[in-house]
Amino acid sequence: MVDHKITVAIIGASGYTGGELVRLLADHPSVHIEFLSGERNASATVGSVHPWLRNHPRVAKMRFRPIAQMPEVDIAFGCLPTGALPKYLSHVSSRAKRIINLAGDFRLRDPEELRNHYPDSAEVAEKFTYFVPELSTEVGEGRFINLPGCMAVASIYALYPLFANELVQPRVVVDAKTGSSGGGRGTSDHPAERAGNFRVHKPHGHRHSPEVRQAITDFTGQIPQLQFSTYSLDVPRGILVTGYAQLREGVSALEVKRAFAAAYVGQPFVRLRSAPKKPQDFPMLKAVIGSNLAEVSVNVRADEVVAVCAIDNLVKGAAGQAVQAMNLITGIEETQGLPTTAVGP
Amino acid sequence: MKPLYVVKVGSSTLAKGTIFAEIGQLVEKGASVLMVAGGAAGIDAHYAAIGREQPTLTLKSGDTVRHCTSTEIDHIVSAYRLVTLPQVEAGFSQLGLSAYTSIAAQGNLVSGKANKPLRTIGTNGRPRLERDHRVGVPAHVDLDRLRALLGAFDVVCLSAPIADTASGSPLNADADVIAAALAVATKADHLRLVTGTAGLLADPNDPQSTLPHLYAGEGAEFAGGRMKQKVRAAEMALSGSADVAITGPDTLSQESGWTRFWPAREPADDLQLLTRAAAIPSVSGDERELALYLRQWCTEAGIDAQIDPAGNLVATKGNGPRSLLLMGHMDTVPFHWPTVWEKDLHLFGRGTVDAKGSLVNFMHVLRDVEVPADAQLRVVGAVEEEISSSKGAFYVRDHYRADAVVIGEPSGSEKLTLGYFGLFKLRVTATVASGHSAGKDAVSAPDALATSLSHIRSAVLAEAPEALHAVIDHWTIKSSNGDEATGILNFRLPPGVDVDVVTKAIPHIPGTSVAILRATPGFSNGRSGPLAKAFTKAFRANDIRPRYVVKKGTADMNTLATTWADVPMLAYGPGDATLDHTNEERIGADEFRTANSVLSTAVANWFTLTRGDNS
Repeated sequence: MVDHKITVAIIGASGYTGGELVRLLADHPSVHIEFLSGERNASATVGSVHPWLRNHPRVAKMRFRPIAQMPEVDIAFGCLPTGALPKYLSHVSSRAKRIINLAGDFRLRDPEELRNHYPDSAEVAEKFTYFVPELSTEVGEGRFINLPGCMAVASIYALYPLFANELVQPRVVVDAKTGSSGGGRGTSDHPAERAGNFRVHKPHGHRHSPEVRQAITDFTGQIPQLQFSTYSLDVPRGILVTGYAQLREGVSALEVKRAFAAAYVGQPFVRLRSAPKKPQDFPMLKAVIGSNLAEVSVNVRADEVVAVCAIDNLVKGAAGQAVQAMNLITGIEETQGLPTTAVGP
Repeated sequence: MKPLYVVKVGSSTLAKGTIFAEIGQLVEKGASVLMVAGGAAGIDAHYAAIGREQPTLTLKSGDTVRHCTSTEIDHIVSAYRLVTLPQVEAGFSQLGLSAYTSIAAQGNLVSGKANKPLRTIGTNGRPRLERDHRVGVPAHVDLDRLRALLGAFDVVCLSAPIADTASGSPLNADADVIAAALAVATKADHLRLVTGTAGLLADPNDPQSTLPHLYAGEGAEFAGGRMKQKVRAAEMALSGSADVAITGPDTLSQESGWTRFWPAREPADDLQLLTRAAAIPSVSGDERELALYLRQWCTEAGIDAQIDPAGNLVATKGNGPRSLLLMGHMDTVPFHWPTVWEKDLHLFGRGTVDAKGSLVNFMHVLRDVEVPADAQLRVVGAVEEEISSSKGAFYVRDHYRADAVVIGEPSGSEKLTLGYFGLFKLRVTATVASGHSAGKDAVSAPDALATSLSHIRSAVLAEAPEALHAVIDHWTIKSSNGDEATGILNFRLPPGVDVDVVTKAIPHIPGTSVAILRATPGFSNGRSGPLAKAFTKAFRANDIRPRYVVKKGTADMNTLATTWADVPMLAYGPGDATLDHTNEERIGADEFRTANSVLSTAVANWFTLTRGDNS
């Protein structure tokens, strides 16, 4: 337990992820927001850049400042676009005891995959720990932590019990559907074209694909043969992933049920939808948007398995996950400051 | 729906090991089992293994309790995780059962509030307020996660400690109290607190002094030491719908070692069996506990009683050739509320009307009526009357015989049911080729279905003009065969209509298939046979002008009638049948007593009226 407030800096606080982290940390009882960086919005107030925060009594009037002005803090959260943090890393790490990076820069270990997907990170010497709050067991004294990608973590929740218990064949197909905020504030996707549309994003080659493969291998010891395809939804927030796999010979549906029930029983933010009867009982966006919850379900018919996970990409897939990780790493109650109910309708 | 047992097992019982097989038998019979493991022995073993002394506190009463400081609670958690729960997993694993074990604090499965600081006596003998004592009582259960586990594992076993709702380290809690809280929260059907003695003893030094029945507030005076918490837990659980018993020694199955706790005290002795039968949950498929209790009641009343292979309770008096069968049913539709006497006038609870009132009436008559030497009176409490399997009735039909039958179903103490309509249920599917709905003269699948249903209705009604009929469900799907529209067509057939005749009347319609889902004939007696006369005289003797009815629903009478067509059968039972299956189900004490008076007279009359039939 901490006996004083943790001081934090949010690097890249003017983006969607940074703004969401400001929203969550603004009312976190154990945290004091010390600094918000925003190079292009330097001197602008939080309320002017994030209208949904303009009525908060404390943070609305805080101003973004250049990274160069960052004071010493306990934790710096990296919310910059992928590829930006490596350039500032030595500066940020000289002022923060710990760095928790939400972007993808330091998720992959394989040098070739790293060069392919995150070329700006390839020459960085610091070693980051990949941290999934529900599955990582050790952080140690490491100062550098990188969190999973939003579609990756949703896929991991859907697949983990299947591979951890060696229930399915290695071949698995995942399709991940994501809302528009996943593209960040600088997306070139015009709202008029996105609205009313549901389209392919990347049938092959998404950078979360090697990440899911690496994470499943690390956490379960099983190497999946993963086909990972992504799609763009006409919603601002939310990710729904569906994983399709085939049971190993001799494995029963009951064993699958047991694996999922046991895997997530102690996890406050992963809720298993164990007995869906109607379509609305399955994981869905409207049950998780605004919350730090992941909803998971699994369905077996004959030897075909369909696992589904829904999360809010900005909360459980990014800012909420970061707060959860901070809570765990600093010894705060895991659930502190995190919403468990969704926003509806 | 599987019946749910919550079973608390103390550490000394775990050590003996036989309880695992008993719980395994419950699983084998189709139950879900939520076990709560006690950990005293495991904690002793763990502390001995790590060479640590167990701190204690002395209470004002002089009792000594384990001191659960914030530091000690970590060791207590380790004791459960390293000793007690692995012991449980091993016990079930040897039987080939899957068990999920965990401390209740895990993932806030059970959370609660910390107790207030404890008043103790310090080592200097002076009163002291102990604030660092991590003990609490359960207040919340994560039902979603628990149901997911119960649905996935044969047995789920939890133990103390529980999570603290105000965060902080976990709270030690009494395992019996955790079990009671779980039974209430999960709406369990049965709660068993297994102990090392034969239930709660009136005299702790006399192992034969088991108190068989207790009401709320009565147990405390007999409970000392650890048994206090058990009695407290049992009484807490009475606010739920489970039947509650402290059982032992170290077993669930020794009936003489049970102390049952009843939620409602009967206003008079003649209402005791009714009250208790209503308090034992017996939703279809879960009739076993009620059957065991009724069998025990019969044994104590000197009546021969058995549970047959179908699970029916079969109680018999006499072995003469003239046989009268009183056939009720033990099962009810689902429910979750405790049984309550309302101002000593009405018993509110599931099954009071449908049809435990009738069954208990049968049991009383069996006990009280003198059966002639050449006769036999048999009561059957059948299983699964409320679901379509009718398992109990089919077993009776195929394995027993009787010269006359009274079915125990409610129609009120002043009515006699002469018969029941039959049920003729059809699934009709009309198929048309896909993609032609916009074409000239195209007929859609629903249109084709409507036409077919009309033809079938007309054909059946030509053979049974008094039948009631309705389409009770319909749906449309696309398949490889084309577009399919399906409807469920229900006919209620009056007694006397031959189901073979109406079956043959179904016309062949091209493109339409018909499946017969149920073909149970109606059945009805006249008012002239000895059985009806026995009732008529009994009504007269009780100053009742009876009404005679033929009911539109079906009952076990229809099942028996499929082969017992020549056996006179009537239905009689107390209670307002419009309350069947509703949340307002209740029966009046006077109504129950009137029915008892009528039935006992009618049964005696039947023995008199049929005397000499077999001479």
